[in-house]
Formats: sequence, structure tokens, C-alpha cells
Amino acid sequence: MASFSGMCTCGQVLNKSRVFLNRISPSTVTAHRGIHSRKRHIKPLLLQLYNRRIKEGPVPEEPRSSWLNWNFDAELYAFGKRLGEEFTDSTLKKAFTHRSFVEKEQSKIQDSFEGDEGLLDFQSNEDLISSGMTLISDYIKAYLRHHYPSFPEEGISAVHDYLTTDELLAYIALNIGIKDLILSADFPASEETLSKTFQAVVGALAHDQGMERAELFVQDFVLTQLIGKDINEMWSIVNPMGVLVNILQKQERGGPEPRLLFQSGQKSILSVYVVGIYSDKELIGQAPGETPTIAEEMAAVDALKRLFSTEDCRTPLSYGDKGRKLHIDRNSENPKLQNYVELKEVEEASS
Amino acid sequence: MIQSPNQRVLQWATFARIWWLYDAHMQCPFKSSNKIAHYLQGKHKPVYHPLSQIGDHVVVINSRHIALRDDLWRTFIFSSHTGYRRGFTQRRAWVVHEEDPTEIIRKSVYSRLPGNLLRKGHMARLHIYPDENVPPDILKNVTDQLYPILSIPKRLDQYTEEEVRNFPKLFDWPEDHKLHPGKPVERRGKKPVKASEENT
Repeated sequence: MASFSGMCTCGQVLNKSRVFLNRISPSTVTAHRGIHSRKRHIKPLLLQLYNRRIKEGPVPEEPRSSWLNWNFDAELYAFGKRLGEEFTDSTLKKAFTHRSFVEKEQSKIQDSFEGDEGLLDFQSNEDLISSGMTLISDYIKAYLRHHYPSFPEEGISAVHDYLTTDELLAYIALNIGIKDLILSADFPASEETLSKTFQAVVGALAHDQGMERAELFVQDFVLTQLIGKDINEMWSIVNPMGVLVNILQKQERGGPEPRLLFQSGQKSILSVYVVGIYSDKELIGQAPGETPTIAEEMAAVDALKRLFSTEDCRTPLSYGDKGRKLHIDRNSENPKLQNYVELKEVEEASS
Repeated sequence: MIQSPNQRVLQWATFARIWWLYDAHMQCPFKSSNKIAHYLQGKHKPVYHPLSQIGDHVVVINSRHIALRDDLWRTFIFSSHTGYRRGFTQRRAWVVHEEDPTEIIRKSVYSRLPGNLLRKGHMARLHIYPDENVPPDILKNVTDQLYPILSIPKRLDQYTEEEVRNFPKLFDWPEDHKLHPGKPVERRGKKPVKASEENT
């Protein structure tokens, strides 16, 4: 009995205080009792739960289609409408269906029905991927050649390669809501899968609405990625001065003569030199640099940019209304760097 | 973000410091310092911002030969206080100039600059020399010159006798008229130190 009373000291004290408080105002105390009697087991419990959650690691990503309210047909329809394009349901469904998914479904059916393949009506998107990629690739090159007629073919290819990397196409695909619609065995979808699905969507658009519409789609979503980027950085010329010498020689112009235009702080660590390159007493390029050597090299790069008409002050690419009015010649090809000058001479002679 | 070589050199050129030469010969130090302070702060640049150190260097030469209008050599007073008791001193402009011929320009530029933490940096970019003897390391940095704000008038003794004789006159002095030779102004206070004595 003594031990029992010893354990209950706190309770007794509480009871005493309640009695004391009851005498003053019983109604107030009953209303606020929850605050004073805080349950001490709650904090360790929450802490335990929290630590378990941390130990478990992040929750693995679940496909959106695993949710109860997923309606694939409605999502497919909404996808086309969001982009403002008219797709046929069957073509769009085909564009999202990868071969790995078809194979997985086939093996499932084989396991359950012992070789009855008649139920499966999935078509994989391989032909759409290849047709879409050809269209994207051809249109990008034609569009770039139209805007940069003097830019060598190697540079056009470099910009084209930048625009058709899996990384960039996957980025576009992710941001137009392709990710959740993909029917593929791998989950979460890899960059390659995303990129291929985007190509298949372009292929599907070309199939349903024709080449022109698909090309404008590529202009709106792929070529707009060039906004704010410098195409000269995507293609670096090794030994720009040597290239410049060759080009001027073939054009029968005077060789490049570097001259120091301005300099400041020659004896300080923040020195700057501006070198200009002259050919036949005409300034063909100029650039600043930390040392005269660097400035000379950068001036050669600048002279090449002016020759290829891709200077920093070039006109922006045409998108939107201007992009709709373009008349692109598909058959022309830019001169290559080796025979750049020779072709130009032929053009001049013919004109 | 990795910069391309083109972006790097463009940025280098944007934030490069230009070295200006300013000839203070026969120039008002107070009017000149407005212009010098403008360039020291980089206010002539499109990238100017009051919190960034993007000002240029200014090399001022011939500060010994500045010109003050009216009687300012005598009446203009530089005051200073050491911070201690009875530490207040006042000196006239000619006294200050004789002690250190770069002092008047330095003080007036200092007063034109905003009183914030950047002022010390701005002042470090001001190089003043009393004459044309500038160290070659400084002179090699110079890119361009600032135009003087005042046109320098020609003194009477710089005209040839022929030019003076041919100058149109309104009237001739009578033969018995004696021109006042003028009296040298006696300056009270400290005896001026000559340049030759300074060097020794």
C-alpha cells in the first residue's frame, strides 16, 4: 500500500491542485485540462516514426497509371488538345507504345493463356520513331541553312547534333507532359525512352496531319531551344587564324594583318588589349583579350564569324508568325569548310 | 556556368579599367575634381552601379600649376581637426599648396566622392603628380586623356612685340603720361618655399 501511494505522488499533487482550482472556477479548468495534461509518450513515438522514415529512404516513384483515377484514353485525348494538334487516337497510342512494353505484355499473356496471342492488339512505335527522327533532322538542317547560308556545313551539323541529343529531346518531352503516357517496360522512363517517344509523337503528327504541320511543331518546340544560345559556341574552330589565312588566300584578298587598336593598364594585372585584323587595309574583325596573343586569336574568330555572317549582332531566328511564312529550300546545302571558298566563287561567277 | 572564350574576353573588356591622363595646368581644381570624381566612380560607363567598384584610373599631372579664380589663393581656407582638444587648424589655400602641391586637388576630389566605404578605393585610383615627371610604369598604363575643362588664356608676355604693336588701339597715351608700374603684393604669414629649396 505504501509503494502504491509512493507511485501516485504526482497524481495526488494534481488532484490537490484540481481541488484547489475547482473551488475558484470549475468551468474554466475543465475547458483547458488538455493543455495541462500533455501526453509524454507522443514525442518519442513521433521521433521513432520519423527516424524509421529517414532510415527507409525516399519513396520509390510510382507510375501515374497505378492510381485508381487514371484514364489513359482521356489523357491521350487531352495531350493532343493541349498541344493544339489533331491526332488520331490509334496513331497517338501507337506513338507511346514501345517495343519493350509489347514484349512484356506478350510474355504475360503467354504465361496465362498458354500461347494465345490473338488478344493482343498493341503496335510498337519503331516506324514512327524512325520517320519522326528523319523529319526532325531534315527540318532542323534545312531551317538552319536557310537562316545561316554562309555558315559551313560542319557548323550546321554541330548545331543539329546539339538539338537532337537525347538530353535535349528528353527535356522537351518531359515538359510537354509525355512522361506519364509512355508505355514502356522501363520505369522511370530513361532519357533515351523520353527522347524516342518525342520523335514518335512527331512521326505520328506527320502521319496524321502531314509534313508541314509536323515541321512547324519541330520549329515551335525543338528549334526554340536555340533562343539565348550562341551557335558559334557549339562549333569551335581549331586554329582560327590558319583557317582565316586559307580563306583569304582562296578569295584572293590580302593576308590578315593583326594590329593593336587599343590597350590599357599595360603594367597592371588588369591589362586589356584590343586587336583588329585587317585585310587590304579593311578591318575584318576585332576582339579584346587579356594579352595581345589571346586578343589576336579572338579577333581571328571574330573575323571568321563576320565571314560566316554569324556575328553576335546577327538577326534572330524566325519563330511564330515569321516562322510560318518561311519558304525553305530543301535541296540546297551550305559549302563545307574545305571547299567553302571555291563554291562561293562559283556562285559569284554564275550570278 | 562555364563561360566560352568569347564571353570571357567580352566580360574582361567590359570590366577593364581605363587609365586617363588629366593635365591640370591652368585648370580650376574645384571644377576639375567634378570631372575626375565622375571618372573615378565609373559614372561614364553603361554598367555603372553605385555599389560596384568599376571606376577608372586618373593620372593628374602639373598639379603645381593649377589656377584659382579671384583672390581664392588667399581667401579659400582648408580646415581640419585632429580630434583632440585644441586640434583645430585652418590653413589658406596658398599655404596648403606650398606644403604639398598635390594636396588641393586630392582634397577637392575627396570631397566630391560619396562618403561611403568605396571612397578609399576610388582615391587609390587617383594618381597626382606636381609636374610632368610621371614614373614610366604609371605612364605606360595610360590609354587616353581627359579634355581640360578650361581653355588656357594667353598671357601678355607670351605675345611677341610685333603682335602687341599691331594690336588696334582706341587712343594713344599723352607723351607726358606715366604708367603705374604696379606694386608687388606683400603676403603675410609663412614665407613661401621655393621649388629649388624643396629639392635640397
